[in-house]
Amino acid sequence: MKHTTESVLERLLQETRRGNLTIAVMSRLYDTDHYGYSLQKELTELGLDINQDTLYPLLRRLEEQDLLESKWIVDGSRPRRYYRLSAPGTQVFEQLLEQWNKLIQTIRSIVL
Amino acid sequence: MKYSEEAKLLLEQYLWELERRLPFSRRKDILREFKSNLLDLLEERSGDTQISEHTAAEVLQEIGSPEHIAKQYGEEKVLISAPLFPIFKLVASIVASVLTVLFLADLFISIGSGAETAIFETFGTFIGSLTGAFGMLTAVFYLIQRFSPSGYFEQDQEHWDPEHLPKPEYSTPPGIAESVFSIIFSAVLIILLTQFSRGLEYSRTIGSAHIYIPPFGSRLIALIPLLSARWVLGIGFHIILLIKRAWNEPLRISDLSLSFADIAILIMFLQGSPDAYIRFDLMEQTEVFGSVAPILRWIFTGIIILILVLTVLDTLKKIKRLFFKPVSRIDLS
Repeated sequence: MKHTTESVLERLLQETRRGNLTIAVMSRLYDTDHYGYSLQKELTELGLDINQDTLYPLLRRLEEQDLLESKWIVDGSRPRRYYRLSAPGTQVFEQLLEQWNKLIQTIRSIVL
Repeated sequence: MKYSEEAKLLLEQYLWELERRLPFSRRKDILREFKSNLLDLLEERSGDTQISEHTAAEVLQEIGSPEHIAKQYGEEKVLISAPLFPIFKLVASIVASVLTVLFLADLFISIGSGAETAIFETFGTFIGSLTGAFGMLTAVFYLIQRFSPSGYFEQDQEHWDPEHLPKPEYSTPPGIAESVFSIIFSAVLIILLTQFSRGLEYSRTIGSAHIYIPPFGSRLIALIPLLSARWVLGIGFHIILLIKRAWNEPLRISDLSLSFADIAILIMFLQGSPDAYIRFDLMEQTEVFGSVAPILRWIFTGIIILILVLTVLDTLKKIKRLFFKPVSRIDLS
């Protein structure tokens, strides 16, 4: 299969986004409860366009890793599943953020 | 909330398609959450206006097909995946048709040869061949799936269309596999019954005499032209369906008419003694079939009644689907 420049760029961007998405999602759930759709809207408003097919399974995976905890709350017209960082999730996020900042600085110093 | 009936049906079908593909252990929970988020999105998109089928289709198109969504959650592991399954079904139906043709030909030869054990052997060979062929076919399709490039058989997400979701509540046409099987099977039955039924007889020893027993009774032989006409019409119907791939009113009425013809023919089969169709009375006089012939007579009548009941139920369903619009049962609260 022949790879065009666009397809290669698209794939590399996807890979770069994928790792950062986890940090973005965890950061929004650091001290606020969100259900899937409200989190998606907030991330979109902040400039991070993320699809349902990426976000909802990601929330599930993070919960399975005990990084998130969730509960069903009847809020308005229907029950919604709210997520927030768990205690281990908060610890992991703080360390992850620290490492990520160092990595960004390193990459910046290499690239620029 | 304000959903049109068509929108509700579309959402119900989408969620049903998604549910059956999700990992079994977490299925209900994932679906409940997915549905809640989907309804939020739909309601925000529509504002205060009623959610139409068009809006629902637009949102579902953006979200992606049920196959695609299920895959993100870790799709249920299956031997043959959903994109490959229609091809598997088609090949399996062709294989089943060919094996059935060979079986029927073999059965006729066995009956004609007069060797009693050969008939039982033919049944055994047929069941063995079917099992072996399907096992081999499943293995081949599994290997194709396992070693094909990732995503090779998957649907193009940009071009998936919610309109193509199967709608079981509406009248649905027979699938390609069903049509192919029906054509081959009907053609074989026509050839066997019209070309070989009169010459077919098997020799049996009764006492010290050898007699030749025709397996079919006079009523069945008299019905052969009618049965052949029904099968020819059925072949024509399935060929048109395969060419047009449409399910319009004339085709649906034709399908219904064929079902009525089946009911009429099955009722004819219940007229008179079973011996008028299959010569159980002559079988009864032979050593091999003497003890089982009365049971076979009951089985024959039972099978005809069972097929008749199933055909009547299926026909009633077709009538209902032809005249009544389906009603959604989804809870969108």
